[in-house]
Amino acid sequence: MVSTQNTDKHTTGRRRSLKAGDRRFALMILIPAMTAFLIMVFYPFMDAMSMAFYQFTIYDLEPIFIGFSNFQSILTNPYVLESWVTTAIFVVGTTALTMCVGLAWALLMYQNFFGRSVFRTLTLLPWILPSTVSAFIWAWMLNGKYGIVNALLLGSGVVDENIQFLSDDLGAMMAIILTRTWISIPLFMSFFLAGLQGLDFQQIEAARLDGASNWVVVRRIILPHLRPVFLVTAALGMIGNLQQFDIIYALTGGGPIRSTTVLSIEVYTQAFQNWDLGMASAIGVLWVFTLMPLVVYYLRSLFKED
Amino acid sequence: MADLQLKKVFKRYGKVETIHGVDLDIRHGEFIVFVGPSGCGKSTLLRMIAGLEEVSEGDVFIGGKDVTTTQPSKRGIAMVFQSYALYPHMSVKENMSFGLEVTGESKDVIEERVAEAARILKLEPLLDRKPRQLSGGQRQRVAIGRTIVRKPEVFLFDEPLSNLDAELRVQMRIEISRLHEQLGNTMIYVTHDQVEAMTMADRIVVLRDGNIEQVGTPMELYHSPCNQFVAGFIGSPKMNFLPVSVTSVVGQTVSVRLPDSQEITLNVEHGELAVGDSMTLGIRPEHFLHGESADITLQIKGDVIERLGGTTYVYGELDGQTLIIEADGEKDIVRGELMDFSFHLNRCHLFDKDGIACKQLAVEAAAA
Ligand SMILES: Nc1ncnc2c1ncn2[C@@H]1O[C@H](COP(=O)(O)OP(=O)(O)OP(=O)(O)O)[C@@H](O)[C@H]1O
Ligand SMILES: [Mg+2]
Repeated sequence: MVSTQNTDKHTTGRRRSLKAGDRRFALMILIPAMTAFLIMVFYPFMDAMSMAFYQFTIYDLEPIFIGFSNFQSILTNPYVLESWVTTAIFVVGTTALTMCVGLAWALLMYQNFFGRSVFRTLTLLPWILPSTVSAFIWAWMLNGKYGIVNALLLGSGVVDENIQFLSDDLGAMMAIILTRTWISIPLFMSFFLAGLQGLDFQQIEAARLDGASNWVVVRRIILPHLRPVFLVTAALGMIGNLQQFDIIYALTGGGPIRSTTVLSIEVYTQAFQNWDLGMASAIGVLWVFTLMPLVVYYLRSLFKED
Repeated sequence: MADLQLKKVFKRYGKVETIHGVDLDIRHGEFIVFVGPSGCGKSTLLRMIAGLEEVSEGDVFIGGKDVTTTQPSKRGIAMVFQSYALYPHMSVKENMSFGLEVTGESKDVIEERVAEAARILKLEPLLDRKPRQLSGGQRQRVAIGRTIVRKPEVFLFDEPLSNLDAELRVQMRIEISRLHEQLGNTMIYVTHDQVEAMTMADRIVVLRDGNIEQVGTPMELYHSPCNQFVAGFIGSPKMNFLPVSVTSVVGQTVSVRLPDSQEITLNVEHGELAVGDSMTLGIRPEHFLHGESADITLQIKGDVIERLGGTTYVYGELDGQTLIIEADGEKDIVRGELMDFSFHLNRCHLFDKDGIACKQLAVEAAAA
């Protein structure tokens, strides 16, 4: 109730300049798009979600309504909660790492140096590779026997023996975080770089004249300037990572022993391996509710006029 | 003491040279204005003094020390930027104290200096505001305040008033001049507005295409511009230029024929003028007299008359050459009528075919 009132006030406030006739016209031109959305997106979505209230496995001829018991089993099923925690670790780890590396890389690309444009272009490479290809490249690089990452780590003396990235709990998590980070860096870097382009360079010069060191310039001038970009990319990054499926599936398949089974993998397993569609839908609902606050935040900051 | 010297300073971007060996000597406490058309290298020169732009060749001395490769913050300079470059997320007070903070001044010193600067610039009521809550003029004052608190030896300004409206510009111009009086520091001020240059400068440096054309006090530049470019740049409205040709040369006595076939004779310094050489005669609009007799009288029909009240501008033609004449606003001037405008020979300037001024020695002859 409260929320409807709120939106109402908002709409009238901002759209006051539209006359009644105009508004009718606006609604009219919205109808085709809305219809398409309702048929193609909203209905299938609600349909799938409603499945969460049914039991529908391979043994059932048709869905049997069982109310909230799918949700009850989720809440009592340690696997699902474990997946939720795994997802949280993956999402937070990947987003944080991507933001740090993306920012550092953007700051580097913001400098004026010879060959900068070549570098900027190369940075976009992970973006244009199909993600499964990236996953296989990384699987190969992270290989426990002959992978180049282990060769480098051993060679430089950081570790004494090969890390079994893909067959070890922690290693597998590191592997998917690293791969996903590598793929997301171009996007994040572009965001930060675009933000940096909007910074009046004379502010940096003024700070230089004021005697500020590089670090002070970054902390006091650049980071505050990038704050809005930071918030939006964080939300966007988390949404993207929450939805992540293909890289994880290609790299680890959710293993070893469920250690990288995030919610998306869990839904897939329930739906297409256990053929428990009701359960899969219920997990989907949990997943959607995890995503929702982020999406709302992201959309709000997109449409905020300021 | 903060005198400042540039010695054979060059700036090159790759193969492109934009400053071609500038020599300049600025004394302590002077208000110097760099003026010149867009792209002539004013900002580049100023930024090289600040250390924001590398000097390709030559040396910069501040207070007798060679600072050519010194960090900007260690040169004893402070700069006001055209865009003000205020830190948008900091309050006015934080903007002003930032420089002192990062160089590790104590809290007391910071408080005291910021308070003093705020008092001088009348910023006290605005200290807690963010830059976006300020008007253009107020932002400008904060930008100046930020430089004052650091007590620099030399202030640098790069077109600080160009974002302000005309009225505020006049007001800020006066405030900056007053500030110079108060602080007594060396100030270097870049502008392309010759009125700012004339009104504020102790000495003006006129630049063109990366070279210094002339350095001098405003009145020196006004009365004896060393070439046609400076003559045209200083003074408003612009000096009139008439093509003339040499009809006789006897020692330093040179006679030239005006477009309307009148001849005038002047005593000038010159290299080797010969009969038939084309030259340019310059007369400032304000040096024409109407209704008074003088050495030379021109008959001009006013096509356009602009009345500003106190003065009237007459746009007329003399044998195809457009002239601007400034006349007393009270004088009876009618559009489309042939009128007499006269001038004294000691008011005119003669430039040879390369635009170099031939300085007048003494005036002798009158109209032939
Ligand atoms: N990074 C650069 N690379 C090449 N040329 C440059 C560069 N920066 C400036 N220039 C050139 O140097 C010359 C001087 O530029 P500068 O900015 O000093 O002019 P200015 O006198 O300040 O002009 P304005 O009044 O428009 O500010 C210009 O011709 C400009 O094109
Ligand atoms: Mg400039």
